[in-house]
Amino acid sequence: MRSSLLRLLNHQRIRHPLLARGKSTKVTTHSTASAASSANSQREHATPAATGDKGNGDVQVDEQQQHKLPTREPLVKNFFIGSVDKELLAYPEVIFREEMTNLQNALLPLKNYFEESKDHQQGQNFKQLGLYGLNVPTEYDGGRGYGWSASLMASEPDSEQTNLALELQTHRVVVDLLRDVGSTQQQERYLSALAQGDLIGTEAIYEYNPPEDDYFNTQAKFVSETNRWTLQGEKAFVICPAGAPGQRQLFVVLAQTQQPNVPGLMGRGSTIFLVESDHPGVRLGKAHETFGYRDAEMRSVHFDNVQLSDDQIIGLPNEGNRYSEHLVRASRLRGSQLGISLAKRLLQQMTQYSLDTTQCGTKIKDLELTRAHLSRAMCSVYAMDSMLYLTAGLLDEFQGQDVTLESAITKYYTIKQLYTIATQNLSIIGPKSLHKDQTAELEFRNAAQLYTLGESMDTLGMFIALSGLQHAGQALNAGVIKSRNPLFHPGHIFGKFFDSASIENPKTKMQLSDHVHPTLDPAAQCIEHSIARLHMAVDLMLTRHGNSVVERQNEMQRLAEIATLIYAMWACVARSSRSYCIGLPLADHELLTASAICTEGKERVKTLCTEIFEGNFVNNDNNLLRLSNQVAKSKGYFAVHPLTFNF
Amino acid sequence: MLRKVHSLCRQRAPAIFSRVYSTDEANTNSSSGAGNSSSRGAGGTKNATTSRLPAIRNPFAAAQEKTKNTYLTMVEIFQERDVHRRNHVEFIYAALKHMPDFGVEHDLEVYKALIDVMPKGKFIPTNIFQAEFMHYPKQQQCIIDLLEQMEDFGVMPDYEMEAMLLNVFGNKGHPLRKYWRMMYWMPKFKNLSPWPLPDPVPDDTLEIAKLAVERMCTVDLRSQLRVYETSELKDALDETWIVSGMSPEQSKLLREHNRQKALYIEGPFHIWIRNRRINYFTLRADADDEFLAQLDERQLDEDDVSHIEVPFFGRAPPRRHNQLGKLRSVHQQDDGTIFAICATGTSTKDSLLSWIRLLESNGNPIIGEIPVLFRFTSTVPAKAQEIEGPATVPATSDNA
Repeated sequence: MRSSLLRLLNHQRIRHPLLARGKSTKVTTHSTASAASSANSQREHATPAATGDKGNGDVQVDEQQQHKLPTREPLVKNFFIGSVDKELLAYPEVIFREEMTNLQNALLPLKNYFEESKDHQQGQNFKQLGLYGLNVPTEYDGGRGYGWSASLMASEPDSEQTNLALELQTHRVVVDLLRDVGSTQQQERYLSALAQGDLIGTEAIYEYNPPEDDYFNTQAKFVSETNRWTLQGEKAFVICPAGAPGQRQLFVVLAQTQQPNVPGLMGRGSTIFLVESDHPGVRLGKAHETFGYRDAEMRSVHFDNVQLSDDQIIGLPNEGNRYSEHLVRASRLRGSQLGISLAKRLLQQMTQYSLDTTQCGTKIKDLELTRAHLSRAMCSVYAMDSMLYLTAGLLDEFQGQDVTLESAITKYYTIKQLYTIATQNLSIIGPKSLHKDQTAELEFRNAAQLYTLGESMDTLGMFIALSGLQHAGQALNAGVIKSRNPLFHPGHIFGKFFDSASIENPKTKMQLSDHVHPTLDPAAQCIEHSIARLHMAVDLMLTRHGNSVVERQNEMQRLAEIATLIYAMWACVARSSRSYCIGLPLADHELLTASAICTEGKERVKTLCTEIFEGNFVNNDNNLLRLSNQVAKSKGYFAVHPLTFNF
Repeated sequence: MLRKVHSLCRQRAPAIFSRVYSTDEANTNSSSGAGNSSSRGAGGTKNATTSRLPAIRNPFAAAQEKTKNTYLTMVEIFQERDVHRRNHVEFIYAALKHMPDFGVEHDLEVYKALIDVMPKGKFIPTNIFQAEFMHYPKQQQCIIDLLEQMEDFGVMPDYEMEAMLLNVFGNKGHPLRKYWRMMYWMPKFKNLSPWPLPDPVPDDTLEIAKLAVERMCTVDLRSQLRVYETSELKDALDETWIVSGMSPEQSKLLREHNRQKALYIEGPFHIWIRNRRINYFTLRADADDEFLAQLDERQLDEDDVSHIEVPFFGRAPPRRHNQLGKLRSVHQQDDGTIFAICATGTSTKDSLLSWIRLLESNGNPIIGEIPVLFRFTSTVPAKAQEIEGPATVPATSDNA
């Protein structure tokens, strides 16, 4: 089989010189590990359609995108229906070797700048460094044209500087949005200015008091007489450039709109507007006193009867939800980047502290408890890192790849783990970690702030579960209807009876271990079992609840955690397998990290799936729900004092 | 003063003696045991001056000042008067009977004082036969009746009472068993009500009306209770108070209410707060059938899982259908939508009119645009009466 694959590989290489660049890097892995290379060669098998399939979207296709491979099935969404794309176990190498050298050379000044000078006055320096234009296409002045992976790599140095990171991050998100779904006119109008830092992009999405029945209080109305939109409302938590008042900004504003001719709730939609800060009617409100990221400036922004034209709408009016997918994807990925660099720094400090501190003659680093803490943090950071670049790689490598779920999961995992690491700091270092203006204190604050930035973690978890269920619901609908009406479909039910797979012993035929280094055999097995369990849990949930599954939020949170763990395991195994096969430094420890993550992840997934299987009467959900009724009735804690007498 | 009562009792002994316990129904069953003394007592009425007076008297009926203090004093007098404490059973029965007159029926201390009348040690059985065959049945039954009365009035005994009963009847005594059963159940029942009333329940009708409206408003946790005075309005005829309960949700329903459809003030309905009846009125409209039909989930296919929606911002909707946030509120019942409830001091049409005006001027301007009709002949009270039976229980307070 191997020889045939090799033949296929050669065959492909001859037929598609366009892709030769991608292969040259991957063939190197071939000599080191047969498993990894077979994955690569199989992936290339899917390429013939690539040349014919490009450039047909309504989305503008730049030069980079023309090199992309055809779209694959979404990775994590398919986990929910128990199918896997094994070839994605080959960690994407989207920045080719020569480009990587160039990139690293280009990034040297950035790294040096941030390492050397601690007192940054931004503005001019930043513009010279080109920090604003990393992900702007090269056609525009100041644009560096980096793809997802490259621009994430390039933003690593500045994400260490927390006071700037937020601002740059949201700026890049706006650029991403414009590049992906902006019209040509909008791109020409804004991208140059954005790239040069004359205009700073900012998201203005969230509000202080969301309305009761809608998503946003900010509303826009189309006035047909003047052919203009009138925007009215207030947005909060808008990040503004610190120390640069009067800096021109470009707000991406989401507003509630009503479709013409469709009355009532059915016609409700949202629209994404681009509003410049010097537009008449736009007014910066007061700054928020935030818990973390206190150097960054967050403000409320008021829009009083702002008159906007049609060309300031991104995409189509009332279709904001469709385009916001791009928006949230970008902000989730770039937000994760912030979290990762913060987590890395926390880990570094924790290690330094445990090396330096001796208690009762024992170094803290030798205590088993500390060692476990450090290793856990290491595993988490490794997983975050792997997930981020795997997701970015998928975006860069395949055309129009659906990574909605992957990016959401990356953020979910990163931010949750970051917070865990930050709180571990409290227990290792103790009260010293909360001294005012100590690094540990500032970083704890930042971690907490990141936890709340944008969407809440609960909402994100629900989003992950719902997206997965949506995908699974479409695929499993026929089977679910049969299972829910057993008397009409006896054959189906008997089939289920004779099915011997169970949560304890899932049956899988994915053979993921063929695609990774043999050392990772058990780890691959863990992934396989976890995916099979997730599939069973999803199937059961849909069968048990029908479409009222969307009301089972407790089970959905579990689902979100399971999907997150599986993706983390997947990314780690893929990355460590690649590292070991090409012999990167400390790759053997990467293998160990991946194994640790998979072992722990598998057990957690098993527990969570078992809880879903047992149902709400066994897994304690029912008790909690009952209890909440009384809590609501008593408006809080309801038990009387423990020393109360009754007689 | 205590002495005075004492001497008064002594002087009037014959007269009091005539109310002897043959008339006391609680005592009839023990006539065999007390036969001697009561027949002697009956004989004694004829020539009270000549024969020796048995120590049965009913000072409770004759007491002029009916307070707890007098009551306890009388018990004390009985204890001190005679070392034998003759006829203490009859005395206790009499004392129990008159408790409500003195307003002490909820007072544990008084019950303890009565138990204390019993001699200690004498009634404790000394062998198993005595223990099993109810040693001193009349005395034991008397204390069981006392405990029964406590239970009826919801007075919970305490550990001191257990000690007293132990001293009187020993740990095999039937009153002890009764006591233990009470101590098992009564603490469990004591706080079982989901709407606990303050102890003691206030006597003011306004306060009780507040309690009543508050209790009914617990269906919606956001309900707000407001007390208006009709004097806030210029041309109100009745000078009285209005307790009004309404939640923001009801205000919202009212805002969304069709202007063409009338609102009805219905009532009076009754709610009982312990032993007081409160009349209340509702502001309601006919059910919005169209809306309710929209929410009817029976027509929807629960099995179809191919259309699960994912919101990009904000929380996921809690319901599978009408994902735009339409939910049936608890106020939208099948027979009508209830917008507010109230109790007024006078329950008159005028006070209700004031209520509507006050609601209008306090955040519900919409009421001015909708016709409001009085419907005092509501069918609901008739139905309620059908269920509850005719109101034979006298209404102690009917919104005076």
